[in-house]
Amino acid sequence: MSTARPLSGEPAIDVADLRRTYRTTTGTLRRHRLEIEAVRGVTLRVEPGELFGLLGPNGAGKTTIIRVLCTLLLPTSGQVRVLGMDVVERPRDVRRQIGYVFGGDRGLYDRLSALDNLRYFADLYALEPRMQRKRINEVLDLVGLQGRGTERVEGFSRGMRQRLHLARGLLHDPPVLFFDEPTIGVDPVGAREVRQVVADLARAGKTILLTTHYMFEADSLCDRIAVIAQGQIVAEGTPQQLKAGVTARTVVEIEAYGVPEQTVARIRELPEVEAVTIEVRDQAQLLTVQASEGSQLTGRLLQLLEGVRVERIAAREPTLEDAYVALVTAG
Amino acid sequence: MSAVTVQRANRTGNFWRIFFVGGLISYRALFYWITPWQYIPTMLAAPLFQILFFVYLGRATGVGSTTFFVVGNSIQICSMSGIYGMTMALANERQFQTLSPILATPANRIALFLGRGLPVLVSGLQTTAFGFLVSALILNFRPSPKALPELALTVLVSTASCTGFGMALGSLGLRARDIWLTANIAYFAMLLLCGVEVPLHQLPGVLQVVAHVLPLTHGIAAGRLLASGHHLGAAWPYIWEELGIGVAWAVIAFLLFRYFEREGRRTGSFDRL
Repeated sequence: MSTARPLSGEPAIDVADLRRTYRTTTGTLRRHRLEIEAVRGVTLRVEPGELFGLLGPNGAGKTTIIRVLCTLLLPTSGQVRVLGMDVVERPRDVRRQIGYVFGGDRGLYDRLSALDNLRYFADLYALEPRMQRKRINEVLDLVGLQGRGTERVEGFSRGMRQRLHLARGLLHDPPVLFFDEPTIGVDPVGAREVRQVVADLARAGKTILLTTHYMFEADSLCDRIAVIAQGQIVAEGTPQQLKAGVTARTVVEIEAYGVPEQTVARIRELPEVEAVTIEVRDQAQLLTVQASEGSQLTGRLLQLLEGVRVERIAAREPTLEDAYVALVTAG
Repeated sequence: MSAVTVQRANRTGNFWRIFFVGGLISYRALFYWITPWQYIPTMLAAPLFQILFFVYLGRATGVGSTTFFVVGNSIQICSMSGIYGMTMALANERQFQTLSPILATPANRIALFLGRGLPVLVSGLQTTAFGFLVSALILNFRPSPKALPELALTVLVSTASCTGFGMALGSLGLRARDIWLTANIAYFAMLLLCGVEVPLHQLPGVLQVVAHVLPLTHGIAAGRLLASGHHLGAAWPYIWEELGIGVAWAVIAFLLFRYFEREGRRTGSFDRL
């Protein structure tokens, strides 16, 4: 079942000018129609055997793209092909060749054992009954759930559930895998194990599309990354290429207490400032200010922060995270 | 990545596996009242009290015979499974957010859908058989032994028909936010409209029309004829009508399921609660 390949030279995943709009209504008596453009003209190609990352903040459109690719959503416009098959015209053929693994702890039958969850999906994916048991044991081993198969899923930790999602997606040994934030909410050790399985699958030649908003995850796993913001791809390349895009920047980190919103707004208005992010750490705030290369910012920032208790201010080298922040906050 | 060679099952064999094995697994996964301490009070005790209540009310007020109320209520209680069980078997996929993973599989939709009806049908038969059995034991309900197989056939057809109706409600649950309200209304409306407690001819004309397209109405009429000593020939037209209505509801249910599947892909409503 894992032998399906696109025609020579054809990408495994081919998305051309994909648009997806959701229509919804609000209000009880006076209904108002709302249109939300979740994906706005996305084009991407993933080559066979490639591990491609779709990186973006919540609501950027990552899950929508994956759901279109998994045939669970129809595109509003554009063309989407998996292994050369159109997801709108040949959904059943596409479903045979893909595995879909999503994040979170829902989407499993809690009252059933892990084995029964997998048995059910083994039938839904039309696995030959005589080899189902072997294959189920194999995927349970692969995701580190050996010996836990007979336990009910309701007693599983979030990490175990995530690994069961993974096992389910791999059951029919599909050549193309979609991972939608597979480590979300999983503890660091569990997340590292999930990442290891993803890396092993990529080494085994699977084509993988992974969505995440964890920078290091994309950096450590992906051959190529597309950064998506507000439904559009704002950058695409290898992790190194994306980092290179911000090396010509100055990054200043400020640890301070009680920075007023007006002060942050005034920092943003400085002509050389490209992006400002604020992270709350206990009582303190960590402001990360990105500015054009060579900017002499420190003095001006301290002026603007007059009256605010500043614990630390330092310039540092830009990272992939800075590249990401710059990309998703631009415009 | 796989040491085990993953082979695909043949199409027909897989269809029946999804129908029988898959249907049973999904029933165990989605039916709320499956444990004995939930099943016995909900699927056996509560329906039994319904039978007792109406039989004693009938006896006290003299508005109907024991046979009238026993047959009506014993057949109607199969809808505990047919309505609620079937709604759970379909609508809970959305509640548990397992609908997307299922619909992302290439599984045959007819097997996936209809297979869920079989355990529900068996459970409904069990409830109705229990109702008749206890009625025979404590309410002095005594149909002729010759009528028993014919009565069993009527119960089978009626339960299947009610399961078809439940499938339609369950399919609505793939889209509607609160299908349980509808299921509750359907259960109690059937008490009134299907001739369970009130003879059909005493209902207003509009309600009689509604009663004729609902499941159980004709099955209950056939059951009463058989239990009161009529020949199967007299009951056949009702049994056929009941079967026809059941098939019609099952077809409507499947069409609704496919429609909501397509709508879900169009609107993205599968996992929206």
